[in-house]
Amino acid sequence: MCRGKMEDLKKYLPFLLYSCKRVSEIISKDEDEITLKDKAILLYHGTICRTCQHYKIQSGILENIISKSLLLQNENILSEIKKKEIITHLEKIS
Amino acid sequence: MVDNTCKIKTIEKWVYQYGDALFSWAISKTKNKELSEDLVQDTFIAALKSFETFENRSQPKTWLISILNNKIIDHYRKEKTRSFLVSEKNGVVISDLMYNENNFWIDNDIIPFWEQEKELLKNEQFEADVMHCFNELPEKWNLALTYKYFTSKKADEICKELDITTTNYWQIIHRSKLLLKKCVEAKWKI
Repeated sequence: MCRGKMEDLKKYLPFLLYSCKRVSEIISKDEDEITLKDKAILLYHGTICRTCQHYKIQSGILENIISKSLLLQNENILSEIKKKEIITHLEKIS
Repeated sequence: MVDNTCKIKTIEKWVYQYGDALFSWAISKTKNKELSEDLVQDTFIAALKSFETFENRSQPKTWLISILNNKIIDHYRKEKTRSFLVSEKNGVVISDLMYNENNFWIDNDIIPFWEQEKELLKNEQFEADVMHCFNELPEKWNLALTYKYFTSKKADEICKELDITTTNYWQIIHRSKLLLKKCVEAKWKI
């Protein structure tokens, strides 16, 4: 869908000058990093490019999974015993 | 010159203040509790030895994490138990090859599994596969993504800590996602 139709339209419609590469780079950014101009481009591009629309969903799914998985690991706690052991070790070597 | 007692007291305080965060960071990288404990201990020992080089320009936690990162990298270099399978150079090539000469997607087919968003987010096998792909990313890219999602820090803060430009950072994030997409699709494509 993006190829062909988009590349033809690009000749006539300057706001479609953004390629899928450029658009997908914008999609990969955090929402608050995207400028208003880029948001408008995404909107235009998204209406005719199904692959970029899907990339947005895929990017969201990947972000969700990674952050969920990493945040779960963030709940690990170093045991009190290990903390004391480290301190004892530090005192010995100092 | 810092007084030795003061040095020890400061590091001891850091063990309680930042020990859990460092341990979690190590676990996220190694998936091994005992190894992570050892790496955290080695980090504090290294911090004590090089305390004089600590400049208050950065947060102690940032400084400790940078020491820990070096310990993790050293460990894998020595053990050779884990390789970041994709080199940075190959990662760039692989992600660039997903677009044609005019920078439009080469492959416009949507693989059906992506359309089951809700199911995917709950699917443990899918999560395991994504994280497996995540661990195969180039070292620096893996680190950038870990900072982004593990610390929930803003891009400019992460860029400072990783000493990269914002443009470079977003390129890394984008290319990482493309690689993850490709890797997951290879596993889930029927």
